[in-house]
Amino acid sequence: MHLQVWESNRYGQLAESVRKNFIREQARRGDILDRKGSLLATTKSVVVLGLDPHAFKPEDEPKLEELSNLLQIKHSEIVAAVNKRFYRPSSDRKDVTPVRWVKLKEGVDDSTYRKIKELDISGVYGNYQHSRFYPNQKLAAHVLGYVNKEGKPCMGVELLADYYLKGQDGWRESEKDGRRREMPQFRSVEFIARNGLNVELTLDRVIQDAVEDELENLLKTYEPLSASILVSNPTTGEILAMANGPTFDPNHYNDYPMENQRNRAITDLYEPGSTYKIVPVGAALNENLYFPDDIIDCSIGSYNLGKKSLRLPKDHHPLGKISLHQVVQKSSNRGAAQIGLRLGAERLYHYSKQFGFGEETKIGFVGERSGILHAPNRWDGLTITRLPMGHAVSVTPMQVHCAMSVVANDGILMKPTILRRAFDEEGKTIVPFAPTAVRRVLDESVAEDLNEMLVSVVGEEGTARTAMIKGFKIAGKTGTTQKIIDGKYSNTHHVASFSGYFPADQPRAVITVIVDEPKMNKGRLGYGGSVAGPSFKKIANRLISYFGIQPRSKELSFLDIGNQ
Amino acid sequence: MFLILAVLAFGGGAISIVWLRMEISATAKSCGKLEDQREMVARELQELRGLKSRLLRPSMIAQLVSGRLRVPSPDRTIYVTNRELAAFEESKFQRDQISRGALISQR
Repeated sequence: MHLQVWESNRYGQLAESVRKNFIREQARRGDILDRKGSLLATTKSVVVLGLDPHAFKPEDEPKLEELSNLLQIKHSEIVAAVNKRFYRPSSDRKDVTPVRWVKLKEGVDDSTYRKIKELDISGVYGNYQHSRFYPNQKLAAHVLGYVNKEGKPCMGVELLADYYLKGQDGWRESEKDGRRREMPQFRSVEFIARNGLNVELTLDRVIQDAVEDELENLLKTYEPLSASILVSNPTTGEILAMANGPTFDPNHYNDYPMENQRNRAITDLYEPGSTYKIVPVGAALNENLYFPDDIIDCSIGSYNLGKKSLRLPKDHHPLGKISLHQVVQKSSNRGAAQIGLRLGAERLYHYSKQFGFGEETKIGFVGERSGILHAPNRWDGLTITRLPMGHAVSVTPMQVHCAMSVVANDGILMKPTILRRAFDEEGKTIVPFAPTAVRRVLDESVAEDLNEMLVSVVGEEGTARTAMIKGFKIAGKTGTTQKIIDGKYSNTHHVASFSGYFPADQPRAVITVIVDEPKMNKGRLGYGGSVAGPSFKKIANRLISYFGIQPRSKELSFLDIGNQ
Repeated sequence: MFLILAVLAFGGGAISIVWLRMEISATAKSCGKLEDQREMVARELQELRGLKSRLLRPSMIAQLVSGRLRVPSPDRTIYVTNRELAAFEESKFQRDQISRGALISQR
């Protein structure tokens, strides 16, 4: 009577709380794949293995040696865990708390866990946990980012596409038996976990691999402070490869310094140097101030602007009177400065903004910087002559890459994109990410003229002979920037860069190579043409084979070879 | 008689309910086991997908054939049009005919 009537509520609740089982079902985080469906990031189940010292039986002690072999940890560590039976919360307290769980190892894979279970050691058990796995190790580390041990995405696509990737956890209510095992027949409420969507990137693993191969080669040869390489499709703005060195392995992100985790292509600023010359030249052509054949006198050392006489920057070699076309081809600083003067501060600033400098490219990655492009009211007297040659402005490699893509894409600036689509487990597209045009920067005919100038840069007379590929029309611009060390432009510290595209008449890929402080042999300078140009060429060669791009002219016919 | 039938019906019903509950428990238990197995297979599949992706990484494959095979550079790639191929086949046929004719005349 007392149990069934008077205390029925209390005991009923107590019985229910003992029986009731609430299980949280963790949603599986979606995979990240490249544009061809190659797996770049996935979720795998790993086990956190531990031991209950009170449940451990001494007769299982001989099995501990085998356990230490399987876990690849010291035998003494396991013995210490077995003996850690009580815990004293603080040294001044006398009471002790029994220890019911001592962690032995994290990230134990499923097959090892099964072998451990076969050992049947009492008190040794594990809990399954979802862990992010990057099967290609360092490949595209800065693009993918990583998920930390708390399950929080930290950077890259993991953070950018977290909304699609994370899914929604589920839960269910049921009852458990005396050994705490779930009794499925008593499942009452079930809310199924919805796994995250998979995300397909614009990245191509083959191209990314080729780029990282070349980047490693660059780092070995020149031992620079850092280097970045970008490859994209100019017509869509889709990033095909993005790599930075030094890099890291997202599976073991803790083992690398934080600076390795920086996506330098969007976070690091540098003065672009001559690659910036496409801005004043493009602007001057677009404003009909110059035509490609107009002559500019590069022998004059100063320019009278009103009452002021402005000193013009020097060229590496005296160039005399040359055409606008040759200003680009020979990368004349003096010529670029005169174009800037004719354009005027407002127009030069306006076109710099139009090309995307001084603002984020909005690729979506956290940490992207907008660079530094001061408004004309903050310019000093020399800025008008120095900005056209890529000084007095700080940019990210991605901004230079996008600006070059404008010329390759008939004058239209595209937003760089890394996400292609989000799709479900059946492969059905749930969210497509379409290419986005930002604005028209140059007229189509102007882009064509500029394109021809850039083709001549990668020719016998240009500054980027090292990037030439026989049978293919390559366009591009070199850049060699002196770094500012102790407030002065240094003669020994350079940033070498090359940004170009191919085939120039129907561009398939834009490639930008930036090398920060390449170490050169004595007496040699780290020019963009000599350091970044050959890397461009190697990557372009591999892309030509990969895309199957045919040469412009066949120097030797297949029939001639057959007859040989 | 009615009482016997009622007891039988009641007893039979009770036994049926117990039997049903036992069946439900057994089925639920095997469902639970199947769920566990499915989870295990899914885990293995995930593991294998990761392994496959790692092994198929282009540089990994290149390492396997290092020194023997590599992607040809553009200057070692020849593109053949259908017209060229047809002309080549025709000239080859003509050469074969000539050499065959020469062989017959020698005999």
